[in-house]
Amino acid sequence: MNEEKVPIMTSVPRWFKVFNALALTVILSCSGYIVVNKIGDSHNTTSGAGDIWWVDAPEITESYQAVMEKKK
Amino acid sequence: MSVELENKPPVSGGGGGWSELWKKEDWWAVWVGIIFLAGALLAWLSKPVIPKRWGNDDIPSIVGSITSSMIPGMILTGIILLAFFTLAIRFSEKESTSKFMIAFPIIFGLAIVAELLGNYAPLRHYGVNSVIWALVIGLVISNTIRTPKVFQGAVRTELYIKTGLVLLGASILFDRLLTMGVMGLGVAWCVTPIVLISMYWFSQKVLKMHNERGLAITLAAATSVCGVSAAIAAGSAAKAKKEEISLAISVSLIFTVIMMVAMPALVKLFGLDPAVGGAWLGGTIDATGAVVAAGAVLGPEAMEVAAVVKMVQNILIGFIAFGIAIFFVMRYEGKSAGQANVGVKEIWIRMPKFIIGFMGASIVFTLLIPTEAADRAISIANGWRGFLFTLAFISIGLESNFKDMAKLVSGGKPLTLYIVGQTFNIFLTLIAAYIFFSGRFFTLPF
Repeated sequence: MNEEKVPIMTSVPRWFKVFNALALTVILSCSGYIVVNKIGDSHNTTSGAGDIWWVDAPEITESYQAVMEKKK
Repeated sequence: MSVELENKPPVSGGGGGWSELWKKEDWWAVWVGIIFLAGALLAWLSKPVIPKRWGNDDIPSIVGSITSSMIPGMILTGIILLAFFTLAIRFSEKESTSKFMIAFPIIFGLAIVAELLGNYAPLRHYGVNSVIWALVIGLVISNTIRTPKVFQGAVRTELYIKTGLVLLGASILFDRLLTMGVMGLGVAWCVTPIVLISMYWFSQKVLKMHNERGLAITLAAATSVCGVSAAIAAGSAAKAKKEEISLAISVSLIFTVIMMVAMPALVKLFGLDPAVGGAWLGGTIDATGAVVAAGAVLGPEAMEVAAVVKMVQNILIGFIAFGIAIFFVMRYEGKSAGQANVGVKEIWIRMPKFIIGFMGASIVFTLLIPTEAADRAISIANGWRGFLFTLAFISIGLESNFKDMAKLVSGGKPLTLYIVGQTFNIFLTLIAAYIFFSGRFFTLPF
């Protein structure tokens, strides 16, 4: 296998780094708030962000079949 | 340690012979994938036995996730994987066979722990699935006690991930492409390539991410197509580094949690029609399950549209991965090898071979296998695919260190790329959703 050092990204101005640090803080805070406070009706839906592919979510097949039925 | 997600580039004049078919691990990922799919189709292989979803009404406690009756099945799951991958390693790297056989039960055990934690329903709803736990477990081991030598024999990221991708290919059914006719295609297939190409252009021309091309295309695919699956497929096709794929997946999942809650709220705020709102969610939210959860908040019609738009968009992943593989070989690998033009033979030699299995499985399952048999086999293959990705991310975690991952995010370019790309995606998809699903320009097919 090829081994290669991960490059260090230093060629950005300081304001850019500060802006990104702030954005990261806001994003992590928002997602943390959502998870901690269980926002988004996690109890009543069988699928969620952890289901990464359409076969993982039974609602996808059900919706597909429902649409095909309506088209008939 | 940072390792590219691909085997060595072929030595000049030495690549492309017939013996590669049974000597290269890249090809063995295809063969093992085919064995899994054949087993699923012929019904001599059932779903892998792994911990069940818990923390819900059916199984409230962790104790119910693994029952005593599941233990023999779990052991059999491990034996099947050990047998298939031992076969692959026996042919591609004979001297490593015994090391693999000793180490695999340990990696398998860690993957089972990741599945157990990843199947905790309340956290899984917010994206903390077995892939994330696998990465965390691997990283904790490698960054605290350092990965023990005995583990390393079964740290086979490429083999697990590429076999998993061949299985993923089987669930890409082209015949579902026209479920919603031109409307579904308009949202899922017009916007997606525009966002992908724009994000990659932005990464190279504006952010100057010339040393992080793999990360840029992986993030672009995760944003424009379907999050984790697209990141794994695109990253593997572009031969991205493992840390780059891990980072893209982490960024995508964090934003998915926010979008899963914020997007339905925006649809309500704007007073959008359920069909337009559903199409908007389906085209923008990365993870498929999150699309369903967000759509459900808006009602059954919105969820139906969102789910089908996402499914149509998922189909694009095969073409995207194939295109990325060809583009990276022609544009970068040829140049790095000092070639002005890269011929068809060179493309064939350098192209990651899992793409052949990935596309081939998709074509066979769409065109040749009867729907009922295909649905049954896809369900079985999907179980194995999920577990193979867990094994892959245990391996990635065991090979990665925090320092290398921190270097990738220092400077903030990946975050900027994602924010700019996702914002563009949200605006463009809203326009497309309005054009195709408002009923003003097209008649809805249902």
